[in-house]
Amino acid sequence: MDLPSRISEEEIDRFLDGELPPDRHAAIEAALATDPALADRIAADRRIMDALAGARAATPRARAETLARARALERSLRAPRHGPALRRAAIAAGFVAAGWFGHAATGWIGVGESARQEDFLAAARHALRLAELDAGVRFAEETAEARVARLAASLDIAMPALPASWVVRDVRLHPWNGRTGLVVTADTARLGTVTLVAAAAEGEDLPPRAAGDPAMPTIAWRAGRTTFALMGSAAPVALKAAAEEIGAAPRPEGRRAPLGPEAAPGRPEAT
Amino acid sequence: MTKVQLDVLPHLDALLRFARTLTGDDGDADELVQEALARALAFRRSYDPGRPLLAWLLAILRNTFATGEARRRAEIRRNRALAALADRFEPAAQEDRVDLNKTTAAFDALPLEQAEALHLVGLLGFTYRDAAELLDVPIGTVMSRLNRGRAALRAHLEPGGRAAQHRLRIVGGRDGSS
Repeated sequence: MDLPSRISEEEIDRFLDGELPPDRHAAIEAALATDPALADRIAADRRIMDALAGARAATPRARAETLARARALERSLRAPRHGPALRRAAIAAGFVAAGWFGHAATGWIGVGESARQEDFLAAARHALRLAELDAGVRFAEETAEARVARLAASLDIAMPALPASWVVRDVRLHPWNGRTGLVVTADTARLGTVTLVAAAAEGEDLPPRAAGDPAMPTIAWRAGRTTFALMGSAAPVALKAAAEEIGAAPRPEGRRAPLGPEAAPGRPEAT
Repeated sequence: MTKVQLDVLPHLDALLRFARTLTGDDGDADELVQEALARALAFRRSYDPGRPLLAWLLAILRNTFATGEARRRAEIRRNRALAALADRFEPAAQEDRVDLNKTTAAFDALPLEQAEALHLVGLLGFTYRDAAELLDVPIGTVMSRLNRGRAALRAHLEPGGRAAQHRLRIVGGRDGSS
């Protein structure tokens, strides 16, 4: 068998780069002993790559700023994958805990007992109980959507169907003035990541409107004895459109008037 | 289950060296890596922890280079390197080792596509498949670029370009398209 005559350029490269099957690699190794031209060629390519590796061994010096950016990226990659979403959920839960979107000073969403002061220890016990409930009743096969529905039902929250395009990332409970809020964080195509907070509340339905916080655009409304706040980094007008879509979606039966501007005549619309 | 490797600093040298191959200049290499790291931070959610971190970083580095000012400067450097190589070319004497300075000069004069293919496969040990994925070209194109890059280096670095016109009875070969 005249092996060298059957060696192509492609095979030489594959041989050098370790891309040949073991039997073919061994055949070429054997041929090197009997074919000086082949041996010269392989040796030349190896010499050049060795020299190239030597010439390229010196690394350009990294400046302090480059190192700092590398460390920043490293920290970021090590952070939990849904860090931003969870941080948003935490902020949203904080708003709920503070009774922010039912603030009495606005005179807008009067959630009744929002001003009631809670004893710190009682609140802490409540949070702990919820955490236990939250962790203890997770079902292995439960989808995020099923979890939203189950928790909403257990909290007497009139949770509407979420837009089908939303991908729910996180569902959690959070104590709120002695009650419990449901915090849902989802990825959306148009709005980016959003967080929807829902909590049981007394009072008439109220249409969506912007609630001013430049750091966290928020649309709040009340429907079916449930107060909602939709938060995200999208423009308030886009959030409001999404809020109206959610508000128009079917809700569990037994709830009160449907959401809409007509639900609260005389209320100014804000965007 | 394999632990996900999220350490960036161990890859910094590899990034700087690849950036040096792209830009042909140490200062531009550092700037390019800085910019690429900033982009990687902005697009960190696009990283799939199931894939090698270095390949992701190199792809971002390469994209950053492709859209940046450094590319224009690199092109000028490559043309100058090629002209200088042609001016002072002297066939090397028969040696067991290849001169590092001449190697650097010959490599710096290679077309970018050939240099980056040689860097990925020859220096970083990428498989053809991984290199093709990173470069976003078919495997055959990677092989063509490697073959032409090696041929050019042989022509410049081997005595009389001897190996460039090796006496093997070659079957086939490629048309050199990329």
